[in-house]
Amino acid sequence: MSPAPPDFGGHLDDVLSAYLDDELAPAARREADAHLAGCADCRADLHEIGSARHAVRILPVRTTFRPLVDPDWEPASAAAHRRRARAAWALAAAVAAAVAMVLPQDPEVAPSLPSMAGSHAARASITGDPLSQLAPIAVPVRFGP
Amino acid sequence: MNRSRLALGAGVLAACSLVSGLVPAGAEPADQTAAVELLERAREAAQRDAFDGMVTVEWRDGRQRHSEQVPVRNAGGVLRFGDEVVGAGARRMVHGTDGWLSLWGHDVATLGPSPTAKYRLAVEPGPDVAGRPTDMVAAQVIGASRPRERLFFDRETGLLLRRELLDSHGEPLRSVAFTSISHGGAIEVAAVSKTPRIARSEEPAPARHLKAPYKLKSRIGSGYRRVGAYKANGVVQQFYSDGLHGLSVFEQRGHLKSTKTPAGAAGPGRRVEIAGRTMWAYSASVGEAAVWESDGIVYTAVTDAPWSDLAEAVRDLPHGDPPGRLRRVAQSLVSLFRWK
Amino acid sequence: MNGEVPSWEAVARTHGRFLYNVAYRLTGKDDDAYDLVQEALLRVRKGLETYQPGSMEAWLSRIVTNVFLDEVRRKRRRPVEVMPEDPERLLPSAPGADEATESLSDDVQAALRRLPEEFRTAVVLCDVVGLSYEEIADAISIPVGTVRSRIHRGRRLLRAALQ
Repeated sequence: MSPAPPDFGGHLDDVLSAYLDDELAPAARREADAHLAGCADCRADLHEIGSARHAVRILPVRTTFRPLVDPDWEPASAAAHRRRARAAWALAAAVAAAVAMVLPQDPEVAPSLPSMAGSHAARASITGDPLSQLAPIAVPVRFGP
Repeated sequence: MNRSRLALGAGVLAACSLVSGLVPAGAEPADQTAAVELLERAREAAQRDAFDGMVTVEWRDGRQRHSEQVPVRNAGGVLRFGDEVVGAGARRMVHGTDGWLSLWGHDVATLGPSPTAKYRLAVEPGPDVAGRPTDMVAAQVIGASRPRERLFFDRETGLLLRRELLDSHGEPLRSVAFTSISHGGAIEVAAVSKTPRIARSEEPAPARHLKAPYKLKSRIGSGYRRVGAYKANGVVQQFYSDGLHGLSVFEQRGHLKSTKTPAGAAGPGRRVEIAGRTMWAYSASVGEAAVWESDGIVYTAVTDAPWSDLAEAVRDLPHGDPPGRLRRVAQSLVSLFRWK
Repeated sequence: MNGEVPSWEAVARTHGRFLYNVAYRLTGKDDDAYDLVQEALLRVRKGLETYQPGSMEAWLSRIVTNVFLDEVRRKRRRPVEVMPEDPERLLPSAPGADEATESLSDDVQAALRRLPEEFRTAVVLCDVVGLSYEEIADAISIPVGTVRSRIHRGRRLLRAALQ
C-alpha cells in the first residue's frame, strides 16, 4: 500500500529539517519543492533552519590534551562497588600473603627531581612571584646531599 | 578594595608613627596589610613591567655554597631567562622529562592562603639592591624568635629585587637577587620567536576522581593549604602554599629500587628520619626535596621552604614501612582483581 | 583486515578524538566530557564481547549518548545533590586545544548547551556525528518521526538563541 500523499496545506514545519537532511522519500521531496517554490514564508523558514543546522555542522573538533586511557581514573559508581567488594579483596590478600607466589612486581620508579622541581617552581611562580620562584630552575637543577 | 588608597593609608600611618617617636610593633595591622600589598604589587610588576637584568642565585647544600647567574628579561608580558622563554602571562614553560611542559595559570583558582595567617610581617626601609632603593619585608613565623625570610621590593617599581631565606643563625641559606637591572622604555619588545615547541601530550590536567591508593589531601604541615592538584604522565602533583612558600607532593605508582638514586641527584642523598621512617633528603637551588615510598606509591616532596616545614608536611603523609615481598605479592593480586 | 574485534585500548586510541568531541558537544564542559568518555569506555570494554563489526562510530555514538542520557535521567530522579563547590575549580580550566576558533564556536556551543537534553542529543547525533534518522532512532530507541521533530525543534531553539 503506498503511503498517503504529503499534505502541506499548512506549512512545512519539521519537513524542512527532513528536507535539509535528505531524509524525505522522493515523492515527499517533490511535494516540498513544489510548496517551497510558491511559499515565501517557508523559504525564509528553510533559511533559518538551514543556518542553525550549518552552525552546528561547522563546529570544530574539540580535543583534549589529557590521555583518554587513564587507569587511575575512578568513576563515581566505583567507590560504592569498592566498599562492597572490600571484604572479598581482604580475603584474597590474605590468601596471597599465605602463599608465596611469583607475580609481576609494581614498576620500579626513579623520580626525576629536576622535572619535579620544574613543575613545582612553575606552579609556585603562578601563585607567588614569577622571578624568585623560577630563577633557581634556570640553572640546571642538580640535587645534592 | 581600592588598593592604592590602602597602600597610601599604610604609608601615612607608618610615617606618622615615625614622626611621633613611636616605634611600631611588628604586628601592627597596618604593617601586615602594607606587606601583603607589596607582595601583590611585585607579582603584578613582574608580569607587566619591562625590565632587563642579571640575577644571582645562591644556595647551600651540605657545606658547599653555590652561585649562578641568570640573565632575565621581561617585555610584552613574556619572561625570558637567557634565550629561553619561561613565562608568558599566566603560562609557564618548564623542562619536563621529554621536552617542554606547558602549564597554565588558569586552573589555579586561588593564590593560596594569606601569609598573615602563619607569618608576622614587618615593613621597613631597606638597603639598595642593584643600585635601587628598596622596602624590606621581614617574615617571621608567629611564635618564632627570628625572621625566616626577607624580601626587598623596588620602592619605585614594586618589583621584587631580592629574596633570601635565612637559616637558624640568621644567615642567608638561599637567595635570588638582581645584581643589575634596567627598566622600561629602552627595552624593545622582542618577538616571541623562541617559544619552545610544547610537547602537548604532557600538559598536566586537573586531577580528580583518583583511585586509591592516591591520596588527595587539602591541608598538610604547618599552614599549607592545597592550591591545585594535577596529573601528567602518570605523576600526580598536589601543590600547597602557606602564603609565602610553596610545597609540592608528587605521587607515582610503584616502588623505589633501593640502589637506584632519583634522576638528577648527585648522590644517594642525606639519610634523615621522620616519624620513625628513614628517607632520603636532597638540597638544590630550588629548595629541599625528600623521597620515600609507602603502600605502592613513591612520594617526592619538594619545597622552597626550610627543611623543618618539609619534615612537618611529610609527617602528615602516608609513610608506612616499605611493603615486604609478600605484601607486594598480595597487592599485585588485589590489583589483578581490580582490573577484572 | 581480519574480522577480529579490536581491544578497547585500540578503540580508545583510534576513536578517542571522536568520542571526546561528541561527549563535549553533549555535555558542554571539558571536565564532564572527560568523565563521560571514561564511563563510555567502561561500557565499550564490556560491549566489545558482543560487538558485531559494522559502523564503529554509530556504535560508539550510541554508547556515549546513552551514558549521557542515563546520567541526565539519574539527576532528574534524584534532586540535585548539594555537591560542595570544589574550591580549586572556580576559574575556567585551561583553553581547549583549538584556540583559533574558540570565540565563534563558543556561542554556538553555549546555545547548544541550553537546549533540553532530548533535543540536544538529536541535533548532536545528526549534525556532529552525521547519523541518519534511522541510525539515531536505533541509537536512542525512539521512533523516526520523533527523531525528526526533536531535531527540528532543537534547530528552532538554536536559531532563536543565536539571533
